[in-house]
Amino acid sequence: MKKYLFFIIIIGVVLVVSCSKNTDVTVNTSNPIDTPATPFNLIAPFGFPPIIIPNNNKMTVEGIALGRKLFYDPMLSLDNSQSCGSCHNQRFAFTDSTLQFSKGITGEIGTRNAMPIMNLAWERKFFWDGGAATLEDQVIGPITNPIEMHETLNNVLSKLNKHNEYPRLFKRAFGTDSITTQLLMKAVAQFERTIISANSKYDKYVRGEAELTFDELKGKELYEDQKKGDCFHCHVLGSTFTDFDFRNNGLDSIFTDLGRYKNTLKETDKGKFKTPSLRNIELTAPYMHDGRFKTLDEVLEHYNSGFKVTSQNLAADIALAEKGRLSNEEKQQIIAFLKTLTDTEFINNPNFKKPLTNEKFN
Amino acid sequence: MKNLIFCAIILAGFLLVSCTKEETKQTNNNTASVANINVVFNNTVSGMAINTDNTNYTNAIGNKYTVDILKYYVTNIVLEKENGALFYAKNYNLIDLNETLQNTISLKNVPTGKYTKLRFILGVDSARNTSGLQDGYLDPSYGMIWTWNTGYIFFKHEGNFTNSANQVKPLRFHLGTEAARGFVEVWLPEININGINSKLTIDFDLNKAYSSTSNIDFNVDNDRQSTEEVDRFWISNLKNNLEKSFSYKNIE
Repeated sequence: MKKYLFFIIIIGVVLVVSCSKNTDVTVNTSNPIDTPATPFNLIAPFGFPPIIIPNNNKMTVEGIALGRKLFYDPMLSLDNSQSCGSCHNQRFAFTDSTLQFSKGITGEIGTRNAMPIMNLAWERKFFWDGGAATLEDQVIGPITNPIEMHETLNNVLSKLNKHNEYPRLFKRAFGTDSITTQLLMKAVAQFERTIISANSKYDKYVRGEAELTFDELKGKELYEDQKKGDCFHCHVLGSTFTDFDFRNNGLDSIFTDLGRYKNTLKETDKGKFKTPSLRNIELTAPYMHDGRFKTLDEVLEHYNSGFKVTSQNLAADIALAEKGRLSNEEKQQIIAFLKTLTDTEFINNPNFKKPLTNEKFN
Repeated sequence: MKNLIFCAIILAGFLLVSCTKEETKQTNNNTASVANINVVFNNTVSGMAINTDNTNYTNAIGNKYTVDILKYYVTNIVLEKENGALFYAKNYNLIDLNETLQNTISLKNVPTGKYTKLRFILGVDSARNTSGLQDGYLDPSYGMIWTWNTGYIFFKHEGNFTNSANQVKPLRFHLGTEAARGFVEVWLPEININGINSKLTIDFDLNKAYSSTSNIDFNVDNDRQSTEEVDRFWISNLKNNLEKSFSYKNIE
């Protein structure tokens, strides 16, 4: 019987060994680099729609930390002088201070105002004209744009692959130290998805944790009043404060920037730009795709009387609005309400700050 | 002893069954009925090899031009037999004048027999044209994707040309968008894929890209990025021309 047993064991071993080629073998090792990344569950804040994470870029703690390091790394630019964070400053809800147009590494300026980075997990298309189909696709735009970071992807990959830390960090996050464009796109997008603002005074008011003043409450009423502010049709009240759609808000009767049309070549998209969220609007001046308005007063006056009714593809809600319908007091009340969307916890959140050089990445 | 033998047979049987999954495909196609074949794209101007050393070429309407960059996607190759049977390669290749190794597309396990057509998409199919988060030749580092308007550049020709006032001007054509996808059909003279021959050469004639169905005059169009209203006509003209710019050369 002992003989049989031995024989069976031998055969059994052969069986296991011969078939293990295609199965995942867990390598037991003390090297932390080989342990799989830790899944990260991004939770939608109270009152927000559920977050849909793309299947091909599931979030991990290590992926987010890596993306954060990359976001703040000037190595992504041609002369190693600019990072994503150079023009997307947390203090200003990740816009470029009060600059109308950001400067690229060559000193050239763009034609559109740097957009805030917040609550991108809910966005559908990226850039002012929706030119980037996914958040991952957005990542490589500014890196390669000659008037922004002006770098080639091949150079970025070569710099990262030669770096003394990145191969190890990519290995931890994605299981491989061979850094590719895809992994770069994935890591930065993972970090950006975590940048969520949902704790403004207004959020606290909704949760019953704070009171709004009389003017703020009046402003909220006007925001929702179709005959007055009429803001809510596009900048949906609550959670995202935008419906993500593209519209012409009547800035010009002759377009200098055709906006979404450049991407779709559809006549009906001429002059249309993304409806931005109004969260942290107090911090993101100047306003509009081209940063033409320095203050919220100018913005309110545009929607009160400045819009050009002759503008092609003008949004219906604006075309139907009566000019001069808001008094000065009412405009100020709407602004008072808009300022309740400022989230100071967000702009100070240590998880979004530039990682310290001595900070440990697991 | 009988028991032992029985036991061994049973286990051996297990061993066989549990490990044959991978082999099934191979056993279905017995080795004589399939062959590997390399499809080579040979880039020419009217049949002559293209130089990137500032050599001037002349298109059908007399524009003189040069070629620095010539790249295009050849994807989803289909080979059609005389009896209508189809072989789908499901490939995504980037033909690049400056990277000759890329211009050979290896097709594995093609059923042997007589073939009359080779079809492919000049560009990237709509399912794959929605994001750059892809590998292989669809990796954005190949410089064939628009970052400001997600989608691939299907065909790229850069160089210069001499305009009607005899001045040298840049020539830059980036063809893309959903309207630009070309469906190319190359007629094959009943070629016999038999496992002995291994190289099917397809000629591409850059001059035909500018004249096969409608003339593209570089004096009118010399910098098209598929972004402007006027580009629409250029997109459709170039796409239609490109569909007629490929031909069978030989099989060896």
